[in-house]
Amino acid sequence: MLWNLYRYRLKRLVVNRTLIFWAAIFPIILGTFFGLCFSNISEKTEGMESMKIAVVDDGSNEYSESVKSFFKTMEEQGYVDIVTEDKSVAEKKLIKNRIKGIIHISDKISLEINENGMYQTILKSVIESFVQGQDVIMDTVRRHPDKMNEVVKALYSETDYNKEKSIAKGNMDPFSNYYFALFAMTCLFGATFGMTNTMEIQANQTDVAIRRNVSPTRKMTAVFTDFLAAMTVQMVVFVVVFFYMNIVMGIEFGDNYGYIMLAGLVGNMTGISYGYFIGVLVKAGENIKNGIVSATVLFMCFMSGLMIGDMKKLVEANVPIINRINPAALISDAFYSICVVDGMSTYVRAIVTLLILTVIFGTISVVMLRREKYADI
Amino acid sequence: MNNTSVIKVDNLVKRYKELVALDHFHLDIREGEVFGLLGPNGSGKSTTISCILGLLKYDKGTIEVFGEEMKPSSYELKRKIGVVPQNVAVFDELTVYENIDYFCGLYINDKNTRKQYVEDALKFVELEDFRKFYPKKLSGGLLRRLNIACGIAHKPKLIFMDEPTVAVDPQSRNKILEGIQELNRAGATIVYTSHYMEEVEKICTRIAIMDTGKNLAIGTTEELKAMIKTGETIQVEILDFDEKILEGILEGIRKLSNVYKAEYDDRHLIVQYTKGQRNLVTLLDFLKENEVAFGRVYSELPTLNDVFLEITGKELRDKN
Ligand SMILES: Nc1ncnc2c1ncn2[C@@H]1O[C@H](COP(=O)(O)OP(=O)(O)OP(=O)(O)O)[C@@H](O)[C@H]1O
Ligand SMILES: [Mg+2]
Repeated sequence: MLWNLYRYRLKRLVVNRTLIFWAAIFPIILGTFFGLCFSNISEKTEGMESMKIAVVDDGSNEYSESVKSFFKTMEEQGYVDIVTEDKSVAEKKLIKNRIKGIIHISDKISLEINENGMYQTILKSVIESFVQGQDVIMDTVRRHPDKMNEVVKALYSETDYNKEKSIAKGNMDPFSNYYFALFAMTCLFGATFGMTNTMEIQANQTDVAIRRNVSPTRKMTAVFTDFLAAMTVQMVVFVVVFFYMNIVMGIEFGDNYGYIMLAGLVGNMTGISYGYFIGVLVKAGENIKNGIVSATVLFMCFMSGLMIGDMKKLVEANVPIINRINPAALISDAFYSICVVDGMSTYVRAIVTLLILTVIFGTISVVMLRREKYADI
Repeated sequence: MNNTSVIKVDNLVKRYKELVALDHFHLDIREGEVFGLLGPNGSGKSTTISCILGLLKYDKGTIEVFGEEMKPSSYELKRKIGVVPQNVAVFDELTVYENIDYFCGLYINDKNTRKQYVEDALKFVELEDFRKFYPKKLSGGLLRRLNIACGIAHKPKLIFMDEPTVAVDPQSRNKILEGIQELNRAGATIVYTSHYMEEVEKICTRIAIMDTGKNLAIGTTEELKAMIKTGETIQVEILDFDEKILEGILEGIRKLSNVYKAEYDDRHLIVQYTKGQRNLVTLLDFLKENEVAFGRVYSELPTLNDVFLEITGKELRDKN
């Protein structure tokens, strides 16, 4: 019986054109659009791959020459482009964002940056690794200058392994935030499925719900199979959208597929339960509810940078709390932290918050749905 | 028909805010009946059914189904009940077969039994050739039949049908009505609502006439007709007569035995009788005596509409 409920529910959700449009087609169209737009931009701004930096040496470090030669090697290998070694020139360029950062060689090695972004994160982790491995590196530089290349490579592969998935690939898309917001949208549009499910289980909403309510099938059994069906559709949609972006549009998201899928799963759960939440709380017709779901989901995505890439940073600077609870921001955080930087703690925090939101939405929905008789039909 | 009570409703009061939809409503339906709930739009037929099914909260009263209180958790009770809602309730995304299978599956777990039941239902509503069709592709009449199939496929012992023939052509309608009688012969008790009196008269063993949430009269068609003063109505087409003697003639007719009302309208004499026999002969003799030339003569027995008219003071529905 469960199988019957599940399988027909699945068909009910999949065959509906409106639902599938919003859930699957729309994200793919938007993703294609992003992909095409951004690939043009990327071509125009060639050279973005080797990041422009400055190396400024105040001469106080006894190994400064060795350190410099390390960065020179990096430049030779095309990872960075050392624009200047002059302090004042470098500082001006940094303010104008002409360079990503200044590496200061004094008694310590430090990084000066103007804004936080993907490149800065990469730079930071390279320097951290460098500082940690300093002794070994210095030794190599002094005694086997010919081995320098290997050291640089080793350093990179190490950072690749622990810190920066993107570095080794060397072509992490600078517009990845848009794609992460797109994934967030894909997940959250699961809300339309959740909302539809609430319509068809409450006897005061639709006629098919009347049929289901007068049957001996327990309401919570129906709610459970409905949810499972919505989850299935959403997971398939997510996987399709993800690999479409990844393989067809050729956008690099790293290879941590397990965590990516987990983020998708939790994101979908939040999306669907959000739909349930709106479905049980809002007293209005189906079209109005659909409007509310779409509008709020798009607004959440807007706040997390779907339309304006810097939106999330702006929010972070002014009302950071919104980024901590906006499901769209949390979902893109989760992706960012596994695809770009290795921010396991950010990832975990995002996932846990999403789960908490799911539980809140879910509990309210179940309490409302358990109501058995209605005041009017 | 026997005397086991299947549905018992006492003193049911249901308000939608200020509007009193059911006003101390009572009902007693026995096993094996085809029970008709007859009332105009908004009289509370659907509300009654929703209350009995445990979907609606009500303000006062008791409802028993198969001798038990009907609760949303009365799963065993629900298993015995089938519902054909007033509005077509099917999934547009599922085919005819899948819809029936889905709703039947809410009641019947066993796959083979269900398969058989779905086939039976398809056959019953004659939709075998349409099994792969999606509801959007069905005509109004076929859709109604699908709606019925979804409600009865699990072979319930008690079936509620809320205006199942609305917007159905006469041929399909007759099919549906015959089907209902067939279900009844197979042992199901049926509660049938309608505002088409002909239907109710044709298939129902007992009828409750309701208006503004009240049960005004209950009984078989004959019992209901016997409750009212009106008997047959005779219409006589007048070919030629002197308008001046009209009042005299009408007066004379009113004095004939059993006449309850006599009128003249558009060259027709309309005479209503309370009861009795040989009324026609007496009337025609009277007209001959008074040298009134007449043409065609019609005699009509009272309908439920007359019953309704007399009880409520209004027509059951617009003539259509
Ligand atoms: N959800 C509701 N909210 C407010 N009033 C309602 C609601 N549902 C029904 N009513 C009112 O209650 C009364 C009874 O309605 P009900 O639907 O039971 O009538 P009905 O006999 O089934 O009519 P119909 O033949 O049109 O189906 C009507 O006056 C109707 O307007
Ligand atoms: Mg009704």
